[in-house]
Amino acid sequence: MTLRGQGVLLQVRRSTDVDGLSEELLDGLRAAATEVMPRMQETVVAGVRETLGRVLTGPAGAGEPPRKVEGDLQRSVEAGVVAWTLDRLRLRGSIMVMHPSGGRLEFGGLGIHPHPYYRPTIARLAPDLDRMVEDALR
Amino acid sequence: MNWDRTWDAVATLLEADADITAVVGSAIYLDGERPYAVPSMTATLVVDTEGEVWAPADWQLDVYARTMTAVTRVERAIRRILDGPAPIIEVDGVGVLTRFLAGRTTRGPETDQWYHRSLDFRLEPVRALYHPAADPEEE
Repeated sequence: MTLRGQGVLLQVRRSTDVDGLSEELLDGLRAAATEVMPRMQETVVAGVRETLGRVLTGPAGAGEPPRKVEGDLQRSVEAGVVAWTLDRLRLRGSIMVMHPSGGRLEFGGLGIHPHPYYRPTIARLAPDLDRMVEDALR
Repeated sequence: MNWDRTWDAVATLLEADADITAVVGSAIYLDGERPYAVPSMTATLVVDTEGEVWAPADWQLDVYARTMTAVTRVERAIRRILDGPAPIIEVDGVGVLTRFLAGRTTRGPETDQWYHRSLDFRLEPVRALYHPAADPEEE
């Protein structure tokens, strides 16, 4: 990934070991995964928007999620447009942050402190996302 | 809370590597501790999951240098230390499993002035390390 001061595509990845399963069973699992991925993306989008909703009186500290000012960054978070693939049972969804500073804020750069908002959100939501996958595959 | 101790352990390993110090010297520090400089390596704690049993912590390491060759030299050294065949470091007698998660390149408007790689690692305590020499049965 190369960032040049533009929006950023962030991936939602979950994997399940399906070695040894029959093709018939795999087809059923793929169908369930296809159904659950959009819901996972919606969960992540809502979670990221929540993370970006902090209203502070001063600037966010180094390493903290950015504070909400106008809400442009928060509003620019949306689910990826069919940007996910299914290879065996490795689910790859994505969310897009269209704001020009979306990538720079998440990862930083020379003279710009990283203000991660996506990776902490994924860590917070990981148990929920795993549960959604388990329920869908049951 | 483990992140501060794990960073100290990682920093000690990085500072002891000849390839890394040949490029960035002693400029290895937590993001925000010093003004930005080129060359340098900074670290940012991205995720600190205190609630989980193993309390994994995700770190972002940023490498800045004047040439991409120098940046990749440092990245190769970091990957050798934190993503090798036996990627376990020791923090106060506890083994910490280290895993490479992702990497990216950021370029600024002054693209000829500096080059950058940003690397994510997960540091995950696994168990107390066994030291045969410290085993009373062996002494």
